[in-house]
This record gives sequence, C-alpha cells and structure tokens, in this order.
Amino acid sequence: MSDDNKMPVSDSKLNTLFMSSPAPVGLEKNLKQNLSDQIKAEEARFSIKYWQTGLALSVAANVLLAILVLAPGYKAATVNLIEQAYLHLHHEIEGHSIADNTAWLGRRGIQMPPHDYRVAIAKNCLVGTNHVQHVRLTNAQQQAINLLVFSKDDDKGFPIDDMGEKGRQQWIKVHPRKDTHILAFFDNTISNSEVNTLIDKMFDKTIKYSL
Amino acid sequence: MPQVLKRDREQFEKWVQEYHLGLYRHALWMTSRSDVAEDCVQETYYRAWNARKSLKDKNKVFSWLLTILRRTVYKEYEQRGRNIEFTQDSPTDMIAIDEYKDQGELLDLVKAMKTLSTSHRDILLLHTLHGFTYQEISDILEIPMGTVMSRISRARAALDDALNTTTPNVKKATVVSLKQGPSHNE
Repeated sequence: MSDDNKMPVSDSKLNTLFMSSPAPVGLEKNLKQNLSDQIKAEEARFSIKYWQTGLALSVAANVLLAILVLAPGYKAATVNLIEQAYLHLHHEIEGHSIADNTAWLGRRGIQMPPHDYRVAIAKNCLVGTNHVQHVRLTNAQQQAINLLVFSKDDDKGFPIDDMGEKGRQQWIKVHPRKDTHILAFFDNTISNSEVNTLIDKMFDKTIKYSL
Repeated sequence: MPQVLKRDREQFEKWVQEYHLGLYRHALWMTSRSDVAEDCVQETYYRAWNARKSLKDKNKVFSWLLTILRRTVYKEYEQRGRNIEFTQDSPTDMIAIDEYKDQGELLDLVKAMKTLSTSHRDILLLHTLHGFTYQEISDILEIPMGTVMSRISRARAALDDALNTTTPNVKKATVVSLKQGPSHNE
C-alpha cells in the first residue's frame, strides 16, 4: 500500500457516504401516523381524567352541600328531641305516674335492673310524636336514671348527637340493640359508664321476653 | 382538540418532516440495521412528544431529538446486547443503490465502521454526518471540548486504519476539517 493510500478520508467524503443511506419508504408517513395515534390516545386519557376529576368534584360538592343542609337540621333535631324529652320527664316526675307492675318490663324484653336500683316508673309515653317506653330507675342515694326507649330500625331514624346536658341532667344516646335506641337522662353525680353498664344488663343483645 | 395540542402537533409534524432522515441515518450507522434504526426513530419521536415540555430552546430541536435518539440506541444496545449485527452479508440496508453508484466504497465504510467502538462511531457521526462543531458536540455529550477533540481524532484514526487495512475501495483525499457541516435533514 503506497503512502498516498494511507492518507485519511476527508470529512466531506465521509459525509457523502454517511448521507447516501436511504430512508425506508414511508418512514415519514409512519412517524406522522404514530404521532396522530399517540395524540388521540393522550386526548382519550385526558378525557377520562377530566371526567373522573369532574365526577369526584361533583360528589365532593354534593357531600358538602348535604352537610351544610343537613347539619343545621341535625342539630335542630337534637335540640328539639332533648327539649321534648326533658319536659316530658319533668312532667312525669311532678305527676308521680309510677307504674305499679315491673312485670311490664319483661313483656317488652327488658331485664330487671341490678339490685341497687329499683324501677320507679315503667310506662308507655309519647315524647313529641315518638312513642317511647319510659323507665325510671332510682337508687338508695335518691339518684335517678330515666331511660326513654325508642324503637327505631337504625340510626337514620334517630339522628341526634351522642351526648349532652340539659338543665341539671346529663343525657347520652345508647344503641343496645338493632331496633332499640335509648335516651338516658341521669343526675350529674352518675357517670356515663355506670349508665352504660346498667343499660347493657337490662337490654341484652338477644331479646328475652318474659310474660 | 385544545389549541395548545393542535399547535404542538403541527410543530411536531414539521419536525418529523425536517429531522427524521438525519435521525434515521444516525441510528442506521450506529446499529447498521434498518429495522432497528426505524424502531429507534419512532421511539425517539414518541418519547419526544411525551417530553415536549422539557424542550428549552426551540433553536436546538435537532440536538434535543438526537440526544433522545442516542439514548434510545444505547438502550437498544443494552437490550439486544453489544453486538447488533452489521448487515455485512446483505448490505443493501446501508446502500442507496439508486442514489450512490459506488457501492464498493459504501460497503468498505460499513465494514470499517463495524470495527469502531460505539462511542467512536457515535462521535464520528455527530461530527461528520451532522456537522456539529466541537463546542456543540461538547454540549450534546456533556464532556469537555478537549475530550471531544481527542475522541474525534482517535475515532478518525481508527476509521482510517480500518479503511486502509481492510477496505481498498474508499478513495483517499486530502483532509478537510468539517467544523460546520451540512444541514441536519439531508
């Protein structure tokens, strides 16, 4: 090989050779078609995304609206029912309408209270528009617990707060059975847990009727 | 279709038209497989569309596309192994039969390129096929300009050796430094 043959190839010669390779037929068309497909897929994804976002926002707005609309009504329902119950209890205490037969409890699936409590009242009453069973329990210390037993299928029928105070009384809402809600009013000197324990003993999960 | 998307699409179609050939040739000389090169170009535009917001300077679109292509090619190497076979036995992939009459020279170059390392092939194409300056290559590869110069020098030497040793057909000529080369599309 001569010296001339060992001279390097020029850049321009190389460029010409590199550039001489043809592109596949239809490459540009394919690339544009791919781009078109890619954009369509992207648009479809955007549509779904926006649709989902819109739906989520709509649901959130409705939930918020429901809370805003229902919350005042919920609060009003609590105040209203507690007010009616409190007035009813006050009337019953003043009226001394004491039931003479505690067997009445057994016929309604309610167990007798522990020995340190006695049944002072056991009767059907009307609180507002609600038919309830009123059970008044007292102990030796003259402490009193008034149970207003509502027969409701679920919480939807009993939309009030869980606890509160009215006058000198505390009250709690207890749901011992599927179809039973209790509003318990009691003296400030009695604890919530004591009332809950008492209700647990009187209202078994499984109703045991006695004649 | 949103206005922005429509505008982007028009822009991209223009870039396909202008740059696809340059990208294809780079991929072809890197892989020496027309099917692989075509895949790489398609992958490049796909990725570029998804990453279009990352393009900072629209005056450097080709550099940007080329960077994506080069990464795609290197990924191909990783996936298919270092040896993407040169189409030595059927070199028609590399040869423009109608456009370039001296097929012998082209075939010699194909064989010589095969002997180069991937990085040498890559930098040689940036410099000689696309005509990027040392500074531009330095920016694209993110390496110092001195490294670019020495690497190109070594790549050229290796190519010349390969051509002189194994390929008698490529006509030798006086060295012409091509700092600012031809347009990127053709």
